[in-house]
Amino acid sequence: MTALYAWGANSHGQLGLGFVSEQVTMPTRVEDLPDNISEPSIRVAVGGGGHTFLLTAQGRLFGAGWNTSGQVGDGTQVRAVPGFQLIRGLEGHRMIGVACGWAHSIALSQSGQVWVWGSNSHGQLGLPKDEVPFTSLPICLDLTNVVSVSAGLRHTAVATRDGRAYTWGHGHRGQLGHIDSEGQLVKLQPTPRVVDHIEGKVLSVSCGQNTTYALTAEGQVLAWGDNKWGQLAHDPRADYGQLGPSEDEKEDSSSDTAASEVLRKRCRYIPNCLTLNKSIRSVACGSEHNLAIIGNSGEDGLLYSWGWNEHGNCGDGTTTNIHRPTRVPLPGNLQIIGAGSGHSFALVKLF
Amino acid sequence: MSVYHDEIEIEDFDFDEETETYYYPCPCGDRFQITKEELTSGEDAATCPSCSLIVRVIYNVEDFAEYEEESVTVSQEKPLATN
Repeated sequence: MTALYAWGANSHGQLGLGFVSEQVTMPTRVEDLPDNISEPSIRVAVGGGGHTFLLTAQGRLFGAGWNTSGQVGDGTQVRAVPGFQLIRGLEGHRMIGVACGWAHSIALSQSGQVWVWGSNSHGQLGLPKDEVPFTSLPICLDLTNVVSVSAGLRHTAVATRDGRAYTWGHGHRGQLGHIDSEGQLVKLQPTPRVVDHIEGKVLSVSCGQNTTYALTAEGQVLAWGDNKWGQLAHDPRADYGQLGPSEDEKEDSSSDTAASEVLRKRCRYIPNCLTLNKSIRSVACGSEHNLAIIGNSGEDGLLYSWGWNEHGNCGDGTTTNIHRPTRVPLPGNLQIIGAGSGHSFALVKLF
Repeated sequence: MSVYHDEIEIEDFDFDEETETYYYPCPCGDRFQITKEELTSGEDAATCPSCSLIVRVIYNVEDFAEYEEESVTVSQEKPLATN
């Protein structure tokens, strides 16, 4: 038997528990799933600003949560959809990928087509925004052979089989990677456009809120967009503990002068190894909190969480930020984790 | 006043003309908000109604002062970002 658990911010019903509340601080079982979701078939749980999708092995997509711009995609525009609903307009297509922007959504089919829905306030749907200000039904874009989709706060990126990256939407921070004929940053790109100047074959794309990353077949990661905080690390003035503890802190953390030194050291703009005593199998990141499946091969997977916890995002039953990866007790063997900006999901096999 | 979560330029806020309020996404799923009136008075902290986070709005207070003067005389091209 397999069960889906949800916790964290629920102000738009994004946990799919059937009700709207400020937050749910303890992992709570999602009981009322539609008849056509069997829990063992759930492959992906992912969220945006206030909405969530579940994708099944059969390629069916279900959404819940914040829906004022139609971002859930159930064909309605009610403010909140507190229980998971089948996304309309994708019948006959097998979905293999889904991504959430702040208030928009993109799904990828096995045939390499993409559908978009939700807010188009910044051209993030790849459609002219005066013609389509938003849509609550998925619209198929004029793109083929797509293999990877991702979405940032207000922009969208895809990769195609021939190794190219396309981006569109809001570009004020350079997250689109487009320059106009006069050498100026393209601040709004209303339709999908190839990112020039990429050497190598792009395999997949991934967006931060105002950044875009591309993984190439040559094993490189290309990054562009907002670098205000040296985005590979974090904002030193807004430390929610999302990076976990550092080796430096473990060694000295006593005196006051050491404390300011520690603060400085936390402001690190380069990737840093987060050391745990066990294998990390997968991670999922919310806006300021993280989840990880921990466990050596052959062992049951355990849930760890850390970071921003104001809405119970970390699932330990409190609302105090967690500064080092901490085990969250869940029954059974953890299979899949997923996060939205302030909410979290875990799929566990009970027996 | 607690520590700012971020600093956001006014051009990145969405403006709602009905409520004359500027909005920007908050990580909790709600929105930071600040009214045009607050900006005109020099207030630069946009708050979120659902959580404790606060962002500082980067803007030019003179742009808003000019707007006030213009709006009582003849309407002109306003130097306000409305995206």
